Amino acid sequence: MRKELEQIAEIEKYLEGNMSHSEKKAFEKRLETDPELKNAVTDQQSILEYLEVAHFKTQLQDYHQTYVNNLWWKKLWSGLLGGGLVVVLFIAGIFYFNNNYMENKISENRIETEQPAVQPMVIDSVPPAAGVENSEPAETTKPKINPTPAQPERNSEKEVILNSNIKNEDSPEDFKEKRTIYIGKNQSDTTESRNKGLLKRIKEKPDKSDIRASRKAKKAEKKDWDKPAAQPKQNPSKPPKPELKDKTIIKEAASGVAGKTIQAPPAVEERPLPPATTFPVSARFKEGEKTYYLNVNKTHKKVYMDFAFKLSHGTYNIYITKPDGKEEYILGEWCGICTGVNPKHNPTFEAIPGQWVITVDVKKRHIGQYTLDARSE
Amino acid sequence: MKDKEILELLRKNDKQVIAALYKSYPPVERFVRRYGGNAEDARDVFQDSLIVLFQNVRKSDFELTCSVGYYIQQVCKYMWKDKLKVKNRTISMTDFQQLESEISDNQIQEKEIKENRFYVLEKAIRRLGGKCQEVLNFYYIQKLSMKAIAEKLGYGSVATAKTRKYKCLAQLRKIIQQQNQLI
Repeated sequence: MRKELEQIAEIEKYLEGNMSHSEKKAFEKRLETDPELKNAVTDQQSILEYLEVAHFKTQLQDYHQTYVNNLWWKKLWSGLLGGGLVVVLFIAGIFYFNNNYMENKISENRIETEQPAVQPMVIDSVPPAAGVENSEPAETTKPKINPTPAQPERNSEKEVILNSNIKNEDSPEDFKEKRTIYIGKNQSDTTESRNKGLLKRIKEKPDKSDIRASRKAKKAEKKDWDKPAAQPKQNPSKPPKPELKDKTIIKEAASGVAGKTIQAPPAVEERPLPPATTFPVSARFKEGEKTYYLNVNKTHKKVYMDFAFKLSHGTYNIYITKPDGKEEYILGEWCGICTGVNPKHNPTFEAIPGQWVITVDVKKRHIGQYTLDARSE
Repeated sequence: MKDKEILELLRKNDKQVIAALYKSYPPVERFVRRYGGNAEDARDVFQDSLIVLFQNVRKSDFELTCSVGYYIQQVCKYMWKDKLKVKNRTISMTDFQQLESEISDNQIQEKEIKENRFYVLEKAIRRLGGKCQEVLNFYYIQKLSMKAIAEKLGYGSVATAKTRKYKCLAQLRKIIQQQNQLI
């Protein structure tokens, strides 16, 4: 055993290169002559080689596991990045195409406003004739329909003429009130449907000017009580103003039934005007109506409005009621996640002194927010 | 990492070299998959080719005439062809024609002999006791000094540790001889 161990030690010394030159030469000579020693050297060499290879193999297997795991993570990350990129591109695409859609809509609307295919039909109400009794206002206020003189051929399928602002027959100005809405062939489907909606809304909603007319009537009545002896001044050039009785008669031409008399809603007590809104205002597109008030002085000439929206998605309408009772309507554009300013929503009006009422009507499921600025100069 | 550095680190059995060698793995995996293999086949073939390089690089007469990556790929192709032959799969030989000139029959025989010898050794080492395996591992793989091994394994002196190592080697030789007789 001892001899065997000595041989192993000697072979190890040889394989590790720890022998001196003379020792090595002597050992190699022995190797040539002694086959048993040669086998022993080969075996020991194989053992050492095997041990190193086995160790290397273990390292390889360990590394392979790490490599596969890293590869998996790399694939996952690249997949996530790729997916993220697709989402970003998708959103960018939505924004891009939405902007195009908005631009198209704006240009379409411009064409509509610049060159109206459908000419408006103007209803001029004739002031009541002098000496007409108050008890028969329906007859005296029959509107006279005068088509515009140079009226081109109409393309509209249907034309609805509203004259809902005529309420006080004794005011000749009110007879000039007119509102015309077109539902025609040449309009886009969306505009047509919106206008239909507007028409419905106007029909259903009690007109604020009606309430104002009844207030006027009540005031006049009160005056009559205070000054019973006062006689109305007779002006030969102007027809005498007809006196108002208990009921104010309103001509509702919009209903399509000409000459139909409708009883005015009961008179509402006059309340102080609501405080003016501090503009600009920012709000979320919340379902329902939100009203803002703008006070316009007599010195002001113009009223400017700016309506901007951010990440807007859905439909909204803006109604502007002027102090004289006229209502302006801005068609709410539908857009899918848009940000910006629609030029249509920056209108300018002639300043009419008094309180202007701006109502933002938000439809269902609308998201995003808007900023409204209104000023008079 | 340059080829020269790779070979030098491989000679020293440095762990860092494996990452550099694994850069050649994706083309090998593609090749094996293309010729009917799977990821596991690719891994086996690739690791075997690295072992061949590891063994060859320690030979004094070894000289690499091409890049390490190309060498690995060619060895892998050869090995996969060999495996396919064993599996009796019919494949197009156009991809393997070039290999015939690059890898000689002697190399093939040498590799087979080594594989057999390694198989025997693996079995023999498994039959060794745990202490012996530890001594051999510490000395030949982790390259620890006999003093450190003596301290780690609680031997009284360096001489005792040395004797223990020689005894383990003698025991291993005996097991190998027994196995060779059986074969």
